[in-house]
Amino acid sequence: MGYLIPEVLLAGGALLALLAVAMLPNAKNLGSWIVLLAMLAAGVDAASMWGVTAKLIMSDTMAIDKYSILVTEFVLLAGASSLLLAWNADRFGAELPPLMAISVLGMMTLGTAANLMVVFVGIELLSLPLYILAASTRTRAGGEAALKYLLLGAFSSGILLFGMALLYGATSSLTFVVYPAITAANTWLLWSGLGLVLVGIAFKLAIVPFHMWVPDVYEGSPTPVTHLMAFGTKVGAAIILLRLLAFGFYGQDGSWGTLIGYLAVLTMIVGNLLAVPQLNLKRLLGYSGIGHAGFLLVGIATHSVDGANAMMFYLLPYGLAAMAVFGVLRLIEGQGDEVTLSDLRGMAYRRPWLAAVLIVGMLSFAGIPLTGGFVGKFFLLQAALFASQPGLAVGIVVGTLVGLFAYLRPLQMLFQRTEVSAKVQHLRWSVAGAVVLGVAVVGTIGIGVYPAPLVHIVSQSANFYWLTGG
Amino acid sequence: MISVQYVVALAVLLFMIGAIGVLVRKNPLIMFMSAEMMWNAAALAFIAFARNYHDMSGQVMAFLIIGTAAAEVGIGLAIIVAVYHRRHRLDIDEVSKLKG
Amino acid sequence: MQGLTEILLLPLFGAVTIGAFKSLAPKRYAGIWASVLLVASFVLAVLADVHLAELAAGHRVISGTLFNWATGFGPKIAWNIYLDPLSGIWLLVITGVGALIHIYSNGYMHDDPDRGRFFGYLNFFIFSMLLLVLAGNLLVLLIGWGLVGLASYLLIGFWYQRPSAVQAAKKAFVMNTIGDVAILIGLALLYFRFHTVTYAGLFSTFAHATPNTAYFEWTAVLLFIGAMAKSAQFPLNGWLVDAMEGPTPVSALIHAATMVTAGVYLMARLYPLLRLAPDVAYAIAAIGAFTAIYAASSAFFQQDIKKVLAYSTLSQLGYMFLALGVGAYTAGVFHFMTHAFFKACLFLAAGSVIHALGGEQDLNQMGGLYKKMPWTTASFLAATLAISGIPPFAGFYSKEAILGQVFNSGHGLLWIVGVITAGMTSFYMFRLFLLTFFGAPRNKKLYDHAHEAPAVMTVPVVILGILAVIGGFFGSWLNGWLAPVFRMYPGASHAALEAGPVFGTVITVGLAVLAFFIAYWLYVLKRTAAKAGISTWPGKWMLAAYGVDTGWRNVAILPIQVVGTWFRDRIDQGILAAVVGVANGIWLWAEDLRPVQSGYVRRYGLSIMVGLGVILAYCLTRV
Repeated sequence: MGYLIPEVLLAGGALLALLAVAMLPNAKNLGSWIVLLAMLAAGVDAASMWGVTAKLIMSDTMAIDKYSILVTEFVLLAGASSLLLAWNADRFGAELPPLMAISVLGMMTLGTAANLMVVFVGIELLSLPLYILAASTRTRAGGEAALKYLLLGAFSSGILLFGMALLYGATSSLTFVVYPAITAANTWLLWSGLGLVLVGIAFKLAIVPFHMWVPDVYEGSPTPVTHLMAFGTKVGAAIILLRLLAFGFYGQDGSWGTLIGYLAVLTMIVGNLLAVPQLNLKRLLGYSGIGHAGFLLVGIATHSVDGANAMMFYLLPYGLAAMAVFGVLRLIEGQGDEVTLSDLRGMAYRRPWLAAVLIVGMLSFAGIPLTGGFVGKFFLLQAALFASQPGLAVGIVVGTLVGLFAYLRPLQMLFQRTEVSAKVQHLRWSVAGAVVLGVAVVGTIGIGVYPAPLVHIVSQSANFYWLTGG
Repeated sequence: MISVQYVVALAVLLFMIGAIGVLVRKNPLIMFMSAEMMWNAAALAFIAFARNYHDMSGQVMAFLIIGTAAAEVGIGLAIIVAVYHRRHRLDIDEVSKLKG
Repeated sequence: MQGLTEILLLPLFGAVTIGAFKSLAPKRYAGIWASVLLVASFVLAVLADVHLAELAAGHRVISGTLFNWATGFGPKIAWNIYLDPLSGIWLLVITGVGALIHIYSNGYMHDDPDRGRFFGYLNFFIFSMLLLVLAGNLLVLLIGWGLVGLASYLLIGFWYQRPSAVQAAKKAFVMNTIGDVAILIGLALLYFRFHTVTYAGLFSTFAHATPNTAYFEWTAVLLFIGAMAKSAQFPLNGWLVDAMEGPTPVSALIHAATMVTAGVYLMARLYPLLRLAPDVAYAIAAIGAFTAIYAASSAFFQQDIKKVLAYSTLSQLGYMFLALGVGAYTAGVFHFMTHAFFKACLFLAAGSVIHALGGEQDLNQMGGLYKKMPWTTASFLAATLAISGIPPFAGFYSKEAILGQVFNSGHGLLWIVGVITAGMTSFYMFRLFLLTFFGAPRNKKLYDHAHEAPAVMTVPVVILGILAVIGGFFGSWLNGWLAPVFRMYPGASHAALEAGPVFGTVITVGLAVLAFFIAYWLYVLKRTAAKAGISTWPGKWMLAAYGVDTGWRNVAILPIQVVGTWFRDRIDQGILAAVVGVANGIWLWAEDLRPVQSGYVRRYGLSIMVGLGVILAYCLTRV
């Protein structure tokens, strides 16, 4: 049973950190160190399993393959970067590191899920700590964010659960990897179950029209937590949606493919459009995250190996760009929780390096060549066109063009000469922040210039169709 | 023995009552309760199907739901109380500063 | 890969090292270093071609992969390198002529404080151009295509203190961007239809495709627009004449011998596509012929030594496209080769003249220089005879090959245009030659200071002059060399050199000789001034190249400016005014949507329920 060691390490780290912060309340960063080391250990152990032959474990409820390993690495990157962004900041509370660890554990669980039960456990494990973390600064906005997230989260989980119940009723099994083997019974039970489950996952992934919690919660939550939601939650929700649909409902693609395609186009356009007039940067990133969820859906909607590859690929450049942008935000906000566009004024002259990082991140979000975001969008476009779905391609192009306006506006502020905002003037570098920004910039440009290694890894991992019949 | 359809119909009814409750009630506590009702409707459906198929996994799922719901209630009540402390009113429509 | 990687990377290495060390090392080392690397590259290129020649005739291809750009998702895209006899010719010319021009530049740029930057750019250009011709697929070709445009932009604007140079660089960049976008779209069309961009993959599918479908015509048109922009074919020709603002070696290398022939290379490379798009092929021939005669007549009254040469480059490129359009691929490549020799020679010799006169380019200030600069005069004369098509100089053979084949293929009108252009070429070239080197010196002061260029400049000029004399004898060798390329895929059945009718040759040469005598009579015996006739109406029109540039201004640039000014006045934004206008539209739309995000949790829940209802309704219709 050595396959679950990364999960065990992380869970152990979380518990240890919880104990440590309770017993030694004065030890600075102790919990963070414990969780960070646990994450590193889990990452190394997961990486060492790369050569494993894919298999189902735990009575066919979990799948260990390169897909799950890559997901583990992605979400650990998300978790570690969120942790580093919260480094040295007592105001988030000492419980932040263990809670983040548990949330990341939920995302990892989703990566291995082969059974609806595990999907449910993963999603709840992911969400419950985030409800708490959203309110961890005890501000008014934080409380509002947490309450909104909690109520809507519980609501959507209810929908998800009921959908699972109906799927169970239709197939008599919770192990969705055996669904293709069960003769495709096109009953209303199956289809309404699938619809409900889709809604439940789409809520987590922030698909229009299930997206409305995102901007409010992003705006109200502390920045490191927002980053974890933006990067980690998106990875977790996207990969389970891909595995569930592209494998569990392999045969019925003609039906759900179109639906996902419509949702993708709607999400890409609405998300990017609403990002344009935003003045609060975290809110802007919330809408941008919605837009990117639409891009991710394109990969699923094409229902092809190309599409699955493209979606998996897209997650990393997206996450790295989020690291760059949230990292800069975290440095600017200092002791506050809010960064508006006018706080960026004059940064290009006063803090040229930091401004450069922000530019790289934003351009990658926008999909400008030589950044990872461009390569990711190119693969999605290619997948859409190869799948003979020009509508999706048009959606990508329109969404990208609209998004361009949203991302260029903050950059315009950077070059305002008239005055330098107070927050930029009092900005202080931190080592942890610099590490996050360094990784983000190197990764974003590296993937943009030479994507071949990542392409190689992704193309091995997105090949999860080995699960034929369990 | 009661046929499975009746139980599932009851579950659907419960689910819809819960969903409508979330949409129409203004007190966050009641909304939260309504959401829990949706969860329990699902649990009921799971048990019904599990009995029908003589399969244990549905039963296990029901227990998981109960356990998770308990955890969620713990967190949820804490958050609601925290918000109540600040406002001294429990009206969800007043919690709408973040928008646009 | 038989040294191909080294050939490609040596100039890049040069550009990088010069860029890194230019402020540390003494200035003259930059030029020497750049030249040494290029000579090494040339030697390797010769070796690679020798190796290519040793292969069996049907398999004369050396290909390899530098590295995989992206593998796994869909079709493989790699940095393919591909050498066949066609790219072999370009390889030799680029490195060979390029090396000579590098050596020459050591003398020409001797006094320029920014020599390091110059040689860095020059090496970078050579790298980009080699990438373009050695590309094994269209994507790598397009990258090289974009990079040569960038290098050209940098070098035209090399003297960035001059506003005119900056303006010219901008113009070249804009016009080339039109072409780049067209190629990109054409490439996308090919890629998404055939899922590959490699030559072999595309051409083998083309072999079975039905000709004359709209898809192929459009693709060919788009790729041809790219070729037109790069090779300055009418009406995208305006930038080439302005590009003469760059240093003269740059004009010789980029805007005469190599870069502007990239369009010729692309079209010759894509001959299987042209088979499928016969209408486009005819359009290429017609545009080529028109550009040839249009540019030749524009050269008649030019007052600037380099501008005459620029128009003659346009005109000769027109010949090459004429050849490609009628399917005379070998003749087109042949003319490219001889043109590279004699035009590089002409530009470098002109550069020596400009150098000797302290930067003067006006023909009205020259004259009688043959006494002072014998070597330059002799080389210039050889090249002039070559471009005028006087036997047995190089240009005669290649031009005859083109015209003969145009005649044989039954394009009578195009043939007549070509023949007349040949006569005109002879006239304006001898006008240039006689005004520069013969007659009385028109500016005594400049004349007295004139001197023959140093050996580092003269030797490359003389070598090129010799090549301009003997270049034509390579014809039959070239014919055999290129034959395997054009036999590989259907579409080039008439690629080999053909002899035209004898009367055609007689007429062409007769016209050229007649034109020489007219020029001699006008400019030596009657001593007509260079600026004679430019105030009459044909002269005015020809001097201004028939106002095509002004036409572009009026048709394309002015309306944009008017709209731009309008927006600027309205929204107080600069050049991005139009973009801002669209942005504002999007903004208003987004502002209208914002109230939906009301902040009320119950509304959010309602939104979820509505979405759920729609999805359930959709799903249940699938049962």
